[in-house]
Amino acid sequence: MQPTNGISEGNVIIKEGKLIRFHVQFHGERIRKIRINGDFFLYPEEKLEELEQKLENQEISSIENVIRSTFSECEYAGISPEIVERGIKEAWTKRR
Amino acid sequence: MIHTKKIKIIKSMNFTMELRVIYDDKHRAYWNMGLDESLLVHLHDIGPTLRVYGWKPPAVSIGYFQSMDEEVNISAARKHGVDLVRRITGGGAVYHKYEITYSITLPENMGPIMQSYHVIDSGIIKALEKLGLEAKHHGINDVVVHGKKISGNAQTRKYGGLLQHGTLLMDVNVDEMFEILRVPEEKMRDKTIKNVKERVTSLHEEGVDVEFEELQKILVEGFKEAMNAKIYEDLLPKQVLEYAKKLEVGKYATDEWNFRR
Repeated sequence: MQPTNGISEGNVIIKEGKLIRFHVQFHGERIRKIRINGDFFLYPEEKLEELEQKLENQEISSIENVIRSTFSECEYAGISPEIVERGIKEAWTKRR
Repeated sequence: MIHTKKIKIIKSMNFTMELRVIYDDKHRAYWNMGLDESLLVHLHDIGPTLRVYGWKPPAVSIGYFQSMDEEVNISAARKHGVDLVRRITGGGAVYHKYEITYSITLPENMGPIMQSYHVIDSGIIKALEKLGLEAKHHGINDVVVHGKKISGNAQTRKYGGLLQHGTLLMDVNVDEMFEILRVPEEKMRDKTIKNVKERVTSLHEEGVDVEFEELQKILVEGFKEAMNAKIYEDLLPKQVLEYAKKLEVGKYATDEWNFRR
């Protein structure tokens, strides 16, 4: 894959039009910065910020374990590890 | 002036618990969110609390994980004098104008979060029954009448307690709402608005017109019945109001909090 430094957005639409936005900045094949915004529930809430921090500097090919281990410590609805992986991968595909 | 009452919960818990009820006025968004959080912070000092209140001026509250810029047309909100605030609970953006809001603080021992929505939402369902409407829980956190959403609810757990707040729509004006709220995809604007009109209802649309103060009483009666509770009055301690003021000014009225994501 070609290295890229672009900022990209992946959107995942959940049922009834609810949208989760993934704002991802890549550096080469790593995530430089990520922000996940949307209408969902995750408990404790601070775990999302923790996940965003853990994902920073992760290679795109190794995000699955980080996402799944964080979600294993949470209750959640309207979001899931699969949705997060899908959103990041969509952002990766659409990167500039 | 805040009038409070206490409810004794007997049936829904294995132990007896007192629950304070606040029949509150319509307040600014920042105070509303500050007081709800202060009630949660002081749960172990003052006991569980049920508060029923409104919003003046109208406001949009967004979920903890949402971005204000993405959810709200900021210039339109400012033009219409609508307050903007971010909640400590997850979920979606809510336009608070033609509705009543409740908040309830309880000990954390209510079981898994998704299950506890069902227990607490039953207070709203009972209130709607008293108004002659058959309502039921839907999805994660909604209450529906005739298959249409009439109440949305959001919960968090912090400081060793649980806070759930939610709204009950007295009326709805979807076009006005979407002057303030953004739609996820602008090119789908008309379809989104049409879908919301089809999926959302209100007391007025269901043929029930009730004054705000009367609805406060009915909502409290709903919770009382759902939890098999007894009610008596009390006042909020000074430290709760002082801490709420601190949160109002230092947190909920700040761009640092509201525009954090």
